[in-house]
Amino acid sequence: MTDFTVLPVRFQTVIDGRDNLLSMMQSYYEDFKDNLDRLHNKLEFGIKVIWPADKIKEHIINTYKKNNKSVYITGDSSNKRFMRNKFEKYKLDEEFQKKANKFINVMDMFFSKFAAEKKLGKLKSENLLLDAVYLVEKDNQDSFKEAFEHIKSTHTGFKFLFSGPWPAYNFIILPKNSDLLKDFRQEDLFDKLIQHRDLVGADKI
Amino acid sequence: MTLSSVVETEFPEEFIEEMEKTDDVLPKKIDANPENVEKGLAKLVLTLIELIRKLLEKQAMRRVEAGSLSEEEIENVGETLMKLENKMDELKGIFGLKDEELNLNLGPLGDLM
Repeated sequence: MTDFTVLPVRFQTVIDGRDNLLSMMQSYYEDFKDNLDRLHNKLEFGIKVIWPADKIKEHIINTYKKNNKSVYITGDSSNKRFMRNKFEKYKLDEEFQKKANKFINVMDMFFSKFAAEKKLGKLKSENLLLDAVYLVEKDNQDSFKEAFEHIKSTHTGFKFLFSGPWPAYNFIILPKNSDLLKDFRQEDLFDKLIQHRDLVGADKI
Repeated sequence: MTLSSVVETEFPEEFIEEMEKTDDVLPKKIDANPENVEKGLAKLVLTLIELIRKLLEKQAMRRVEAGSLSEEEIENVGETLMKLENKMDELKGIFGLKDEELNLNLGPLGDLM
């Protein structure tokens, strides 16, 4: 990665000998070239953030109770009580999402300054606020790390994970019909089914 | 210049736990053998029903917030949503499915719910 742009391949990929490797590279020359041009001199970094979801929710509930917004639904029948509970949950979720977006926007604003491309995973679980990958020019990697350290130091109570530099696993673009996207394991399974079709009673596969 | 990859965190166990929660709920391929095909199909159908139920619920909450439902309408919608939820719980129980199993990973689009 120091001197060259590395293209990642699927985990457990094994190529049988130099000739097969060259032949494969020839077959997918255009796919490789396009990605190498786009990813030249760039590296991938990962950032994950866990936030104190319980405390955030508690704060939202307290604020909600203070403002007494449940006046939207009055009455004490079981149907009304059900609706009131649902409405409170709906408002809680809405506020929770708003707060998450606010935090993510601030963080992303800092990281994006030094990134060429990004992919943001928001609230993949209640606690995992952000699961992001950034594509960063080699020359910008120190600045990117500094931005991370700044965000980390200004968000007490949040937990951070920083990883990289990696080859650009998440930024490879392949045409939809590229054979490189084919799932070879499925092909293997189909071949096995064909071989044993008599056994499974499917003579006309 | 040499580049060495690092993973830096003071809380590795917590990140592992959170990442495990986000693993695909449904397998990427359908393992259609006679023993589990019924449960697999039920999971798929109930996921879609749950999606529609949640959409209905959200729409109802929006209308409550906007003040466009009368007292009587809130009563009726409440009854309908409660019955729907109870029926879903019953069906989930029959097929041994938990709430968190009723989801679909849509690849780059994220989870269905």
